[in-house]
Amino acid sequence: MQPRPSAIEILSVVAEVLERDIVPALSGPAQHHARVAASLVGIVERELRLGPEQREREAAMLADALADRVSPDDLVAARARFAASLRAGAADDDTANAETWARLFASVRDDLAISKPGHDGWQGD
Amino acid sequence: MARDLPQRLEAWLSDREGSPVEVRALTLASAGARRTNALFEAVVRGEVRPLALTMIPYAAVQILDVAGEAGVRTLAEQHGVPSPHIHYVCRDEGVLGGPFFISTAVPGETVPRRVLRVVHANGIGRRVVAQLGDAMACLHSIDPALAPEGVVPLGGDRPIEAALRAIDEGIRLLLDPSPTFSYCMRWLERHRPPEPPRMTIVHSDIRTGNIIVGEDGLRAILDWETTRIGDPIEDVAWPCQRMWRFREDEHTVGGMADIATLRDAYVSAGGAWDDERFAWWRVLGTVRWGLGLAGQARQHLDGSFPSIVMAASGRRVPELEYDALLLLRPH
Repeated sequence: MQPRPSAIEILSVVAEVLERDIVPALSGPAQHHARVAASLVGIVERELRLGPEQREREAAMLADALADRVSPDDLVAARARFAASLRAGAADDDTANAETWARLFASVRDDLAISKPGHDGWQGD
Repeated sequence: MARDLPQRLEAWLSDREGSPVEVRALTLASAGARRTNALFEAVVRGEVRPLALTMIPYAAVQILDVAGEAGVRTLAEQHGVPSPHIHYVCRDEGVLGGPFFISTAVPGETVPRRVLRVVHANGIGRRVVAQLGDAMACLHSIDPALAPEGVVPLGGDRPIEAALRAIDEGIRLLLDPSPTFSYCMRWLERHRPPEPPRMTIVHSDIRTGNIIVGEDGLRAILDWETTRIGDPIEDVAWPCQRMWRFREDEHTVGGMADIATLRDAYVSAGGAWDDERFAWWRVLGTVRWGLGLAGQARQHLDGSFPSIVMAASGRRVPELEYDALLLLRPH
């Protein structure tokens, strides 16, 4: 077993150092790459922290939408089925549309909590 | 960029002018995979001219060749679209290491956050957006038959069909299925407008980030390399995408002003507005951008373009899914 700090704790400090110390010390393409690296490390840190529960919620959403059992370990296949059903018109009528939109919206917001927290601060348009 | 670029430029310009030209203060403004931009001063017969060099590093990746781009920019300028005046065009790759053109260096801001700072510090958001609407109407009023060689329609004379097929292909290539994009595709198919009643020259990338703005307003529209023939409403919908607002979300058009300002200016300058077509292109543009990001991640993963920036694009897909859903919120 590895001693502390944990993977999450390490990524958290790596992201902080990249952002606070390394990005400002660089310029040009290297600075841009360091900024992107800091952002990616932050994403992975949040994925390790929030990912397991998020996958559970997505599996429950897909199970509900497909009226079938969906395992959090097999989201890709269930997503593919859901996507195909939507493309074929499963959400065409107004009631199904409102329900589906709400499902997708909640699920995408859940993804954003990992990939870009705050992007859903704007709900206009 | 070649180290002896100033000397090569001097020799070429002297030859063109028939008298010695001095090139000074050459600075690289940006160097991307697709083009290199540099600013310099040319002293011609005692007169100092601030100029901008646009060079294509590799001829193979050109979308529209330099002569085509220079031609369409000149045509647009003649019709009242603010575009930096083109002084020289050279298709010969041997001169500087790639084909290039040279235009007037227009002073002002191009970097999005700086543009928005100038716009809001001077309270000129509505003015700039109205100027964009006016410029687009001027561009779209040009007889497409006058467009230079290389400015062509994508997918023949059916831009709506071609755009839908491209989305379809993008969805098919996704490494992870996106129920949101499939949902959007269904909506796009069911709400597809008829093919445009009039095809026009379409810049296809007019937005914050591709314009020069000063304290007095819009000074120029840049980056004409993706100009083609298509549906004019695609052009007016594009700057309204959320990613071109740079956090100024309450100002729908490029973080500067609202859609009514754009529409009113476009219509007063003779443009034909169509609300439904406009809404359709907004959704299409958002989904297309999201699929493009997924495609960049794919190019990183399959080794065709390994890059941390391309890899990171894959994790930006949910942002575009979210923006697309906002456009389709049920009433």
